[in-house]
Amino acid sequence: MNFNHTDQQGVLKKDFYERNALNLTLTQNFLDNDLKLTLNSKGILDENSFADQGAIGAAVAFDPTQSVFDPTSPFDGFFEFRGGDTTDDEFRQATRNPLALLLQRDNNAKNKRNISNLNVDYRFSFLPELRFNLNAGFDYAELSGYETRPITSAANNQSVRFENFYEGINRNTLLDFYFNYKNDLDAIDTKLDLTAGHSYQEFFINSKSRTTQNNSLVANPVSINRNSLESYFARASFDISNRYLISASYRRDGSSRFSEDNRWSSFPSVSIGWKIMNESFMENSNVFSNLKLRAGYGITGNQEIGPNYGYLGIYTPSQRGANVQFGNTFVNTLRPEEFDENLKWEELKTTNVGLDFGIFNNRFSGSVDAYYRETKDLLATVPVPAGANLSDLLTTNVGETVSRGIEVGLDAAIIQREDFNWNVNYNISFQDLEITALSLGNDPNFFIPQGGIGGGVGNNIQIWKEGFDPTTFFVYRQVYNNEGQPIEGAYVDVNGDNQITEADRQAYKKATPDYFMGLTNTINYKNLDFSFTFRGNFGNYVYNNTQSGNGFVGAGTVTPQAYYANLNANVLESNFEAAQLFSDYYIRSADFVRLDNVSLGYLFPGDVVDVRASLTGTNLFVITDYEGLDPEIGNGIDNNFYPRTRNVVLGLNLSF
Amino acid sequence: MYRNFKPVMILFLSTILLWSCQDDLELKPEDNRETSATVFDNPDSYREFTAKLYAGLSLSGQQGPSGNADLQGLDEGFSNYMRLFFKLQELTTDEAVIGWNDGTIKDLHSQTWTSGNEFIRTMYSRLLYQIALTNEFLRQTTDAKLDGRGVSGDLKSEIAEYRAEARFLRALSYYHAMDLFGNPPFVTEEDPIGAFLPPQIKRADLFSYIEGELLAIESTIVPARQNEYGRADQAAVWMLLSKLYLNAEVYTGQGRYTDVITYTTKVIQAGYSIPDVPYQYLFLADNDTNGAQEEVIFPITFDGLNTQAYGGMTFMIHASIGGSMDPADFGVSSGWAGLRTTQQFVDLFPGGAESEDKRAIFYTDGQKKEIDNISVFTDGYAVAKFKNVDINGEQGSDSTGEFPDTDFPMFRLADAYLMYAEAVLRGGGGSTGQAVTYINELKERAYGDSSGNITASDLTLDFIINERGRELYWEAQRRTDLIRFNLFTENGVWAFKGGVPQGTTTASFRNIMPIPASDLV
Repeated sequence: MNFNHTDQQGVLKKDFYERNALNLTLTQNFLDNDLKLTLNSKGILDENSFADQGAIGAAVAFDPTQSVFDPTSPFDGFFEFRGGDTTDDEFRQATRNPLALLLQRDNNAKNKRNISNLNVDYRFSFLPELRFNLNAGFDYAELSGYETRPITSAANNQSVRFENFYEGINRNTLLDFYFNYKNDLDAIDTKLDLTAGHSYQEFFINSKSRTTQNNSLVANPVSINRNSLESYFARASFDISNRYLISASYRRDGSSRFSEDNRWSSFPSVSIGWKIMNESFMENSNVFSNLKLRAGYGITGNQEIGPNYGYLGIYTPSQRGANVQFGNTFVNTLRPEEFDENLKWEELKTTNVGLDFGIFNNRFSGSVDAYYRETKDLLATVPVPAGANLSDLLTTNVGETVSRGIEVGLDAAIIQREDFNWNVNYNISFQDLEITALSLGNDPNFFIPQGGIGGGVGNNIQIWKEGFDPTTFFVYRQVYNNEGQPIEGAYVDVNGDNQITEADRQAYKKATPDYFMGLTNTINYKNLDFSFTFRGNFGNYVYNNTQSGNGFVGAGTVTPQAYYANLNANVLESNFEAAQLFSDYYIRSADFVRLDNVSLGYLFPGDVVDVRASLTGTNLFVITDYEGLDPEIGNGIDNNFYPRTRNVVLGLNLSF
Repeated sequence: MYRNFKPVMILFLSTILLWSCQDDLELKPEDNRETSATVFDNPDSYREFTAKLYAGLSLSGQQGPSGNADLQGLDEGFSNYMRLFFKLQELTTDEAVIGWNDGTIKDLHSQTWTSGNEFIRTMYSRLLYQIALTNEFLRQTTDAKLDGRGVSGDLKSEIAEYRAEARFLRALSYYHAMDLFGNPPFVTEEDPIGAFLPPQIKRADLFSYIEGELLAIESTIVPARQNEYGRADQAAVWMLLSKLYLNAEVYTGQGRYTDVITYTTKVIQAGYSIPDVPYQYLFLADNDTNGAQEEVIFPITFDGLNTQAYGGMTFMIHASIGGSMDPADFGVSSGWAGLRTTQQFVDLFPGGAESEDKRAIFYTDGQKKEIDNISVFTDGYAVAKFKNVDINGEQGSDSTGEFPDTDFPMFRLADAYLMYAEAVLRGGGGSTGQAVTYINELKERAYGDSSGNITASDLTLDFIINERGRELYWEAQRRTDLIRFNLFTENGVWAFKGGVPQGTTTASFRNIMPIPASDLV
């Protein structure tokens, strides 16, 4: 039994999270320990308060010369740009006061969750090598929340308090079982391990809400989503003379997200290992303490896509406010949704070879791995050519990618004494990812716009194109004057037609790092322990959307109503008058090294209880040339990024 | 111990059996969504699907005003058909400028757009989306499908009407696509639904296709003025044919003015009238009942409570209010301070904003006639033509003042009159005397008496283009008209055309909008 309490204040005011969890485990043995039942149940009660994240963008764009408060303001004393003294007089176009956005909105939710799992493990008494294992699990969560904004908030355009009541159920159920047969076949010096089984999983989500619309509380339609997965699997492993390892597996997976024709797919894999260390010729090695060669080939499947019924033509009825006048009546509308009846499993074929080694009694050890991965029928939601389907975006099998990489991990015990140890761990990964085919168009010039940005409407800054990394940016090449100053609107006329058109936009740089590494040092001296980890990415670029979106004169001054907005300070460097959203000027190197973690601990041993006190800091500093808030942004588009926290934790651990 | 365990074991084994026997991977929606296999079990579905085709012009999704968008890659409000169509047809001309800073919106008026222009791209997506919707309706309502569902009798003949309207709406969007983009992609109900790159069609071939479609439904669609308000009828088909033929020379190089006379005459003789109510009534909240509807051949309907969107009329009314204008006078809660007009357009009216011509509905208080800075709302007269108040000045049905009731008159009789007169001048036959009579009917409504009337000698092509501006401004006609008169690019100058304050001419390739690069291979 175990009880846990956590609470955490977020970076934004009103972002707050509190968790109480109770964990219960019951184990019971029957039949002379041949049958073991384990029940594990965890109850979790989360209480969340969510901040209005729109405040981040508002804080970036809000006129910094205005004071936060205004005693004459009808908006609870918060300054807002307005044309009069009533709560209807805010300038709708203006940037809202970010503090008011945070403080005038309440959004609280409660999440009650139970995760339970019953495990049955049975050893057949007549055949002890055979085991039966069964898991029945469920994960059930009930969410309910309430969001509100008063009439006195400038972000509430209605003449009543804005309210949003929401609730939902999230339920996952799992049932799997397998038979396992393990035997040592001494006659041929082989250890045998066979497994075969079946698994079924179901995911169910039900949500509903009521929201203030046109001054009255309106019930939104209930949304129900269900999907399920079923698998049959088998695996055979052979360990021959503790030298040669051979393993093969086969699974057949079915997903409710695909049509009957494409529902089931088979995923085989094989792997071999050679424990060179155990060969007789290595017996007398003074250098090596471990040496093992591994290789494998396998196919796995992916069906993790947003929509559950993406292969079916679905019709959605309209809600209030979206009806059409025929004569004197207003008719509900019925919309056919986009679909791809040929939707199928994405397949990842991975080939890998690896070497594990240890020398000088494993004081120095490590591994080297190389992989080559082909992804076929990649599943993604992408813009579909206009007219071909029933929306502008479609979840479909878009093409193929190839990724290659080498990963090296090294461990060294630099000092090994009775009361003083110093371990160093270093890892580095090189990677290369490339789109090799796009199924929508065979033309090598065909591309799919990706990577939505702020500024304008529906603009993208990245492309998917054959031969390029999927996070490649798609930009105009900025022209600079002799002083190195970008010349506004002057771009390289790549195709030489004497005008700057879309045809001059080029694939340029990417957000994926070429390589990344980590370095961890762990030092123990008597009861004192100290460790720190550095982590770094190299060769990755970021599109600085906070600069491109606000770093031009017009962003602050060309406003439809009588207000100013704040500029990004980069305007002082670029001197741009108007937005230059697609200039490669904003593609910036985002190499970084981060001190991820430092931890200092001391153990006070006791007779009854051991006490360990620790001080841990995470995300302590970042070394980078990148000018934005944080260089580590997954998709490479820096736009109103929710700031990464820096945590310092003081911990006390009691062990009885 | 074994005894106790036995029931548990049995329970588990039976659970497994139960679960594995079920066909658990065959899942269908369980909320208000339905599959195409079951949705048509409800006979109302055909009417509701048809309503969606009309909603394609007025709304942006399945929840008013926003929240369940048709097009997901774009800001929902911006993706509205009428809003985009208005922007491309009006902002590119002398009739309208916008002060906003949204992306490349100002490139429309300065005619400096590229194929990356998001408004052009979004219009393109929306047009093809509307075409895909109508294609799907036609696929789902073939005789074979209807027979398979056992549809017969009244429902079947009702569906036949819907099919004719679907083909009309598809022809309308293809007409817009042909007019704006020249050679757009071409998909019909014969194509599959999937992820492929539809081939482009040549403008002249698309012209023939649209003409063939309209002629094919001419006799099957509901007769003129017999359909429910808001739905298209035979006169809407004739009106679209007239427009197609009037611009035929632009699209195919071949004039079809005799056909314009034929089809505008059919429209004119169908029983519509220029009612004896002020011009402004056409653009008010109650324009479906205040008498003005007698003139309207095909409206795009809006309603403050039932048909809500951030595009369409909501955009046109809110965005045209700024400066010292009181939103309450327009029946709305706020102004979005964007749209005005150029000084050149104001001067089309004799006497400018103070014209005897009552169609000159400008707001001038605090506004400067000349535009020095497009971004400043008070530069340029505001246009007070569209309002969300009824003839008594009462606000429309939405008490929050956000969404208007005002319907947009897509096709109306005055346009048929003007097209007839233009076809006469361009050698299509007809009667000059009749043309003058028609024009004077419009003039008398505009002036309240015959003081603005013209004679046969006044009836020139120059007069027609200006009169079309005066009668039909902000009704999403201007770009097409100016191109037909070769005044859109190489000729014709107005403030900030070409990106300079005094205006300059531009290159003729801008008579056609660019197709987004990602759809061109």
